[in-house]
Amino acid sequence: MSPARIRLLAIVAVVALSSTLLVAQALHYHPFFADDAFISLRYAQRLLHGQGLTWSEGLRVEGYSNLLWVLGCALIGLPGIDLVLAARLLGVGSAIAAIAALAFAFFPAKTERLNLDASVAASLILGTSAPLAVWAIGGLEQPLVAALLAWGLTLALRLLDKPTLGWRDVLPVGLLFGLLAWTRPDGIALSAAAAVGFFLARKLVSDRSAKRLWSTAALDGLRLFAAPAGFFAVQLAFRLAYYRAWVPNPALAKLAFTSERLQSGIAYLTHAANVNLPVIVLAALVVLPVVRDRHARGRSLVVAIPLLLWLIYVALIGGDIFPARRHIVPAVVMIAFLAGEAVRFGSQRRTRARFVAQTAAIVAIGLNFFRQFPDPESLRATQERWEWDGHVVGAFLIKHFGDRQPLLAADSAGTLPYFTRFPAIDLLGLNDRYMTTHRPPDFGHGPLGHELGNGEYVLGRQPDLIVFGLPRGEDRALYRSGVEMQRNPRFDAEYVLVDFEAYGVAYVRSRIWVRRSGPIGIRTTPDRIEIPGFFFASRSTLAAGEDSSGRLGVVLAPAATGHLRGLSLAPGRWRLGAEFSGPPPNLAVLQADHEVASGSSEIELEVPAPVELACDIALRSAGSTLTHVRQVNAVRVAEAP
Amino acid sequence: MDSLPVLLPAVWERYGERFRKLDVASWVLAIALLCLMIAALLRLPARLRKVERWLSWVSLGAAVTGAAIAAWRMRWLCDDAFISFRYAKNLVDGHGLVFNPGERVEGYTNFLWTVLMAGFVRLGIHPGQAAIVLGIASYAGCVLLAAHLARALSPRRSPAVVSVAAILLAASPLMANFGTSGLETGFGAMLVLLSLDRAVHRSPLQAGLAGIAAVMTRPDHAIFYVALGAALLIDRPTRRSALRYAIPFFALYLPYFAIRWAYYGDFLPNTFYAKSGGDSYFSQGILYVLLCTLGGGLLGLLPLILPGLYHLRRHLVVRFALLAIPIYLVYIMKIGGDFMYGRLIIPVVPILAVLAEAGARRLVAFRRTPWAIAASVFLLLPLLPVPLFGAAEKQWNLADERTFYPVTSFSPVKVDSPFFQWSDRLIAAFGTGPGTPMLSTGCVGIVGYRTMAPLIDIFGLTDRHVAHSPIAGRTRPGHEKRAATSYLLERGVQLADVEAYPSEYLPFTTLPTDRVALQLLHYDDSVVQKLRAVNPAAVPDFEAHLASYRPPAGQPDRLACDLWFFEEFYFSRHPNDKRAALVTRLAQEGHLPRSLLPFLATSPKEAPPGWTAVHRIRFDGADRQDWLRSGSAFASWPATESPPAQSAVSGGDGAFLDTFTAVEGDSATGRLQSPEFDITGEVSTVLVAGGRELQHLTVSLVVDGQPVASSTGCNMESLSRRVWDTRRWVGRKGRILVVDDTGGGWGHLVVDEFAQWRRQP
Repeated sequence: MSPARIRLLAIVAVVALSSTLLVAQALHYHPFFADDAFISLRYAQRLLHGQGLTWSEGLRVEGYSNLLWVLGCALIGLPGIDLVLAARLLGVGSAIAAIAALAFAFFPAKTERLNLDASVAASLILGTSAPLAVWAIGGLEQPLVAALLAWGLTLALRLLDKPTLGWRDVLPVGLLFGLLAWTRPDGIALSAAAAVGFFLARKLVSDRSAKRLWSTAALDGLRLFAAPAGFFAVQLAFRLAYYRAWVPNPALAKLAFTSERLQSGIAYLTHAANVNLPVIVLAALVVLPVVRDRHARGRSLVVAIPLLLWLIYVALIGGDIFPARRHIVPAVVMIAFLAGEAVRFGSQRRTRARFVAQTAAIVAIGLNFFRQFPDPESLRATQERWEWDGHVVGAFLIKHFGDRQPLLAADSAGTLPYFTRFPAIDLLGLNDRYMTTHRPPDFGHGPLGHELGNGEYVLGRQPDLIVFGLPRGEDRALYRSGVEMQRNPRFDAEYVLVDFEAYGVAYVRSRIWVRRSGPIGIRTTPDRIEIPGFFFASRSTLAAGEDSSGRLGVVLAPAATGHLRGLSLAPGRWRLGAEFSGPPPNLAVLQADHEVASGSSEIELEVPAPVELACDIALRSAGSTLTHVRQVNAVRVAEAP
Repeated sequence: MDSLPVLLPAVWERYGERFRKLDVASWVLAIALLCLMIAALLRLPARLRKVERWLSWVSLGAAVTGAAIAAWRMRWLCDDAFISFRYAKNLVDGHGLVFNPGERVEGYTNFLWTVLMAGFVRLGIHPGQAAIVLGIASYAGCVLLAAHLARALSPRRSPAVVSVAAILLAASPLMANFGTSGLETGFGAMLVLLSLDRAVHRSPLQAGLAGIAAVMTRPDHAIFYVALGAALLIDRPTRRSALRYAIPFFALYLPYFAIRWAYYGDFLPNTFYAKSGGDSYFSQGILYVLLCTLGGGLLGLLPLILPGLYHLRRHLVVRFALLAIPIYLVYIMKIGGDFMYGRLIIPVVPILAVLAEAGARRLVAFRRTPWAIAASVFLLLPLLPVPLFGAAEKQWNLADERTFYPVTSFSPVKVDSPFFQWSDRLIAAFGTGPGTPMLSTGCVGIVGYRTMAPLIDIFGLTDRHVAHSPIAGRTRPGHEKRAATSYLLERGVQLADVEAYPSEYLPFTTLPTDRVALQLLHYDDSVVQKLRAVNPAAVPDFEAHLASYRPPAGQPDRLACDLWFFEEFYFSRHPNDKRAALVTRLAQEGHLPRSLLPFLATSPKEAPPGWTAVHRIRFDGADRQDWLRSGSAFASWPATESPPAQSAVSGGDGAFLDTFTAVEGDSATGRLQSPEFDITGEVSTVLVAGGRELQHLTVSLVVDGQPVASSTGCNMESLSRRVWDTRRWVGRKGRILVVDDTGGGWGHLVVDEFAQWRRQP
């Protein structure tokens, strides 16, 4: 076998080994998929449907902070591939690309002996990383960040030893960092830090005979940063033109430089450091080559400066709320670079040093791997599945209300809007310009990403469906928009809490507030009132569900009465009847809790002039049986004399 | 069980507590042996060089003798060993390598060991005695081979005259524990070591033979066989010998595998399916490895193993160890280890001991004697008998099984186990071999071997049906799958050590025994007579109870369940007139409507003579049109099999309604209502199982919105027939309504075929 083929096989084997470990881990966390990932997918979904890069109808809002990721998912979804699968394909592919970058970064040059220690160690750190594995399937952009960052740094490191650099040499690195700037808004900061590191390293690694001028090195750094700056400028121009905003909406919804944020950010980093301590210690051994080798010093600088900046940034923004430490992924990539440098230093030396380096790497990576499983943040990723309840509820809602496109307001702004495709209001404000531009005075002191809200504003937009909390819903609101809405007397007058039973891939019972009027509400004309049956499922003993033909209504169970309060009947003779399946239900009209009229499935009632009758309607099942009532109709058959 | 982060401090605490409680004698002996090992590492004084050979043999003899004595003092025969003995006995008796004659199930994982035992049985030697002797011999073999390997690895400047590895193994409480046990553990470890020794001494064919013998002794030893082959392949000089090493695989193993596959029909042994079925159980496996390495003191070997690995990094032994041990440990972690503390780790211990000695001797040879002595101090850990588990204590899904099955007599073989007494009683009543009633127990070894009765293993090691059932939740490895009581009843099991019936019927089914309660599953006259012949009070007088039976007043559900129990326990094995006599009396006394007598007097599996079903609601391919449901209990209906966490439902035919769901279990609640139908039958029947709760778990016939007949389960998963008198409602419209309004234990209902019957004109 030719040496070239052996080298090719070797690098393929290294990448395959680490990728297999990563994929096996990812399967362990499957089917985790973050709610915010569904926000990105909704943008991709609407883009594919020709509705632009928007989250909902009305004012365009940049509620994503991962433009390239959204576009990538949309591109994969273009031939009809399910977008969740598209995000996972992109995630796993990007994670493997990041692993390949690390393997390639430390792969010995053709002139060197085929020593794979550093290549294996660095790529294994990524392959065994729980955050990368979780986010490879978690639906957000971290794997793509990892891939672009890893390849950007790898190619940048390869340029360090070149005597002179032209624009063409730096262009591939610049493009990668430019794409990174499009992948996350903070990518531009990473690119800038890498450029600074590159500039300092260029100065450091130049040999004494041809000492490079500071200005030359600075120019190299600027060349590297030119492309990311260009990418950034293009995105900014797009943002200004399309969204009429200077910064993405999530930045306004989350960023606040307060002591609480700093504390939570430091806690986030220290917990992550505790879990990843073995690998951090291995990476810290990079001081050995840094002290002794000028080239290693330069390479480490290119990585260390972005790493430092990233850690400071994460501390300042208060960390993150998602499972498996999402913001640690870029740090893991850079730590893997430093650890690889340390292992390379040991493995290129005497056999004893090589043995120590190999043992240290095996022990550190092995320990790190096993320490991650009991980590509560990793465990969260194995347990958090509520996003998929949104799939069941969403399918249910779209089936019954899809033709009327009701306005949905939800705290979980990802899963429900994505699966229903309804126009939507994000109750937490991530996708709402009004809320981000009307931040509460105590913003920055509460839970990250859950502080915005404005009850008056949401109520004013008259959403037809309101879901507090997770897709299973809550009767009492948890966050600001909902809490303020429920304090408003209009809310009780205009909304009814309905328990919906959705039978899909799983059974989900969801508590949703439904607007009494509007496209899915009670239809009223002077002579006719049509009340959808589900409005009677307003007590936890009853639920709205489907009959065997898939029609929506309330399922009346024995010993439970469905009430709808606050109706008014104009003077005249009214005939009330129910559309139902099963045994005929008992129907009653109540005034101040006293029965005015009742009967089985159909009743007549005289409302004397001149005053309208303010009444409630009650539905009961007949005896011990179940009855499914789809609709109650009140028809005025005669005017009052 | 708690998660690993919670368990680890508890493990550490227990280790510390037991460590502190060690007696002085243990300390003195361990320190003495440690001094001996340190002395053995030092260069022999010149005046003793003449007696070097003599010293070597004497020390080795002492180590072997010490090992044999330690193993003999701890002798035991675990229950699983008797499973192999039963296979061996059946083979010798001409039934083939089977557990129950006629059922080809591979319920052992030690083919070679079982065949060896069969040889001893053929010679008239009790396999228990043979297993003890062979186990001790294997242990001694390990000690000898470790010394032999250590000598081969020791440098010239520090020859292994007195082998540290041999002393370590001979004095290791962990190794001595499995010096007997009746299982193949020590024998397999010895074969692995022999294979390595032969490879080191450049006899690849012999190495291959020993390796394949190890694989045929325990299938998971294939890891060692493959690792040694890979180690041979890595190095250019040994690459050619790998071919000869592989010859036994093709010549012996492949034909053996093909034959066993054809014979049993399963690609993998039944025990694989019974234990994990390929599922990972890392949390338990990591705990197992940790406990074994901690309790066995193996961590104390590390300071010497590491220099050994470094100095001998190009040596075959190190390459083999670096390949085999991590893979083997990950394998143990994946399968969740074992319920026997220490067993799976045994094959690794001799290899580690050899590497530790090699490391120590290299340090001495390279003039690092103080380092060698300092590192050797940690060798105290494997010598100290730290009892992590108390006698007969089960903790963290593990136990020191030796304390459950100590051998109290070698000839005749006697084991201090309640199952030994259990089998004594069974033998006294029924004798042995065919003709004995079918049994079922969780400890099938001792009872199975001694009685040779047809037997179903509750945990499925020797039963294909149970082994292939799903695992409901992870608990004790090897004890996670359980035969459903309905399966035991269906298979005709007559005696078992599990409670098959609801608690109210236990007084009639429980046979008083000393330590293990024995349950009668069917009242079979011949069985009862034989039991009473040994002890007249052995079986409760059920027939007297039947003769004087009066149903509890105001509990129609209890009457229905009593009739079901009588049917299952007694009438199904007696002539129909016994059933007819009871129900007729009950009807005469007004407890049962006379109109139902034709049904109640007939076996529920048969249609009553002169009656025909005029309308049936079945759930196979159920037409869901006009059915109404609410709640989670009917999220997906009908069910074709019960969820893993529920015992198997029996007695039905095809799909059924089950309110126990995979997601919510018993907590699921809901209602299901059929479309309206004409009531045409004078009598209606419905099959019901599940919990007994007439208020909240019911299947009812509803007429005009009111339930006119209702039934509930009997806290059993066997579907049984309920009979309703529906003459009053003929010509009206009715619906079937299934209600589950309760959670908690037995908070579910199972319903199958509803039928309306009319008398044939």
